[in-house]
Amino acid sequence: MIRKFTYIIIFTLLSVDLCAQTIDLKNWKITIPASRPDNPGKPMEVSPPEILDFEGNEVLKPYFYKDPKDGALVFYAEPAQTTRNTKYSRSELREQMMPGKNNVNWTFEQGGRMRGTLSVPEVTQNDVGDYHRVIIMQIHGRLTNEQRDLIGEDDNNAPPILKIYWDEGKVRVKTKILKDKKAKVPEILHEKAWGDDKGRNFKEIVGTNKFTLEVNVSKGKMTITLNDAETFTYEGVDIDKWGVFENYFKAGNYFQSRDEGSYAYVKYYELEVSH
Amino acid sequence: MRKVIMFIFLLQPLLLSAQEPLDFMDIMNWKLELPSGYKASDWKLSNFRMDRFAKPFFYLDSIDGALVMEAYPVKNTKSKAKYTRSTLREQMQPGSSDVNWTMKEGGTLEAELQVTRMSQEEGKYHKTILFQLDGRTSEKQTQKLGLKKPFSIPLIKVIWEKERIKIQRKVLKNESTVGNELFSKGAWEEDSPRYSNKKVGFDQFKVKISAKKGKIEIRIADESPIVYRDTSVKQWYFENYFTAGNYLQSKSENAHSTVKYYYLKVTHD
Repeated sequence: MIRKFTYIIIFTLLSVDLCAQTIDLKNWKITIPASRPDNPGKPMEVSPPEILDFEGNEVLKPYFYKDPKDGALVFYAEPAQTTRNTKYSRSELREQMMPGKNNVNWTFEQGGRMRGTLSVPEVTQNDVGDYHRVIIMQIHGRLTNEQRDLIGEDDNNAPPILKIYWDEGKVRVKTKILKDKKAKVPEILHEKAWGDDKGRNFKEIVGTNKFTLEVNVSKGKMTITLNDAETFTYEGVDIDKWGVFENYFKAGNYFQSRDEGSYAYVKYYELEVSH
Repeated sequence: MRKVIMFIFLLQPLLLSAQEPLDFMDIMNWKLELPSGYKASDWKLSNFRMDRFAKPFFYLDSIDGALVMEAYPVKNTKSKAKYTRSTLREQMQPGSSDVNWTMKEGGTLEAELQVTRMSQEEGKYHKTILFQLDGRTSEKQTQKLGLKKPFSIPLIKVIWEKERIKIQRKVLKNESTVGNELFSKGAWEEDSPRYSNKKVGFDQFKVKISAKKGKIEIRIADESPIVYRDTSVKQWYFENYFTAGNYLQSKSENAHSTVKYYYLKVTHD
């Protein structure tokens, strides 16, 4: 019996070790729902190369840490300090093609691929019992400085063409569509030119289990695949015209609640991006 | 050491049981709605044992393992229901109400249940709807009719009333109605109700509702079935779904009904 028990322990240790993933963070910046120690009005951000030492950063620790049991990256978010432009709170990675720089991004023509294995192990419910929603992946648009100046904006923000939600155990995909299909530059550079589509749920229900999402982008086309099985494809005039924007990937926990006492955990076991 | 191992092994089923499927119903094929306005389907519903928002109305009996559905009015409800709804709605595709079945495809609901509590008002029992067979326009029909969203209308209601089972169904006002008119509320009216012979009262009993190709059969307990087979059934071109539960037909402050389900299965062959 004791021998059996020893085997079980060894096996458990081995399997933990096998699934301990190290996500390469050299092209990611983290934002957490806590204030910057040097600038209390702003949310804390850590870019590469400093992010590579995230485990030694005490400010990050409550929101962004490695699970000692399975090696996963844990993203914890609760309503607190909000980021600029948003109503909600995030513990989220933002792609930086060039480490430390926000102004180097990619177009649909250049293309991109993001693949992540993750789970949403715990999310709170509102006062009637609806689970709070979490955005787990995004593709965000960004205005170049020229585009920004052309339309007279004071920042480089553009809408997200892709938002992937964890929605009561289901994976829900939302994209942007042009309100006026005939609109051209410069109108389409304005945030208000774009509206939300109805959104689609994958048939497979993930609950609190681990799942894999792959996002593939190329000229005039965007696909999202759940567990290498079901794929949503987006193409046509909206995606074609989106080609005007530069983009970056986001992954983590963008928590969609302002309710007091609400929170969510998202865990990433694998995450990779290529162009 | 052996004791510790035994303890872990004994604990194992407890740790795993939170989301284990029920053996007497396919919980993934239902959507739950409660008097509080709480709604749950697929994963959320399968997690009901851990969900404190489901618990007051929807839980497993700790002694016999039956599924208990409670209905009583709550304050600050977000429910849009007319009365006090504790209902399961069939979802052929987990999480979606858009996939339903036609009369041609057919459907059968089998259940074993017991009304264990029913409040009274002025010496009379309240009543509750146990089952419904609801029609709903398909996506195509909705489009053809120029409606913004699907139109629903109940074909059959199985009601616990005065300790008996009452069957209420819709018939065509005019049997020669055809085409788009068949999808309007005004084309249909309540048929005279039919009742089970015996009182089911607060006893456990079985129900079987089968609908297929112009014929509907409802069997209560071991009585011979109530059968509908006429033009009205033939002209029912809606898509359909079953509901099961405890839809208490009262909003009185003291109204309270409890229904226990020992078995609940829907099949389509």
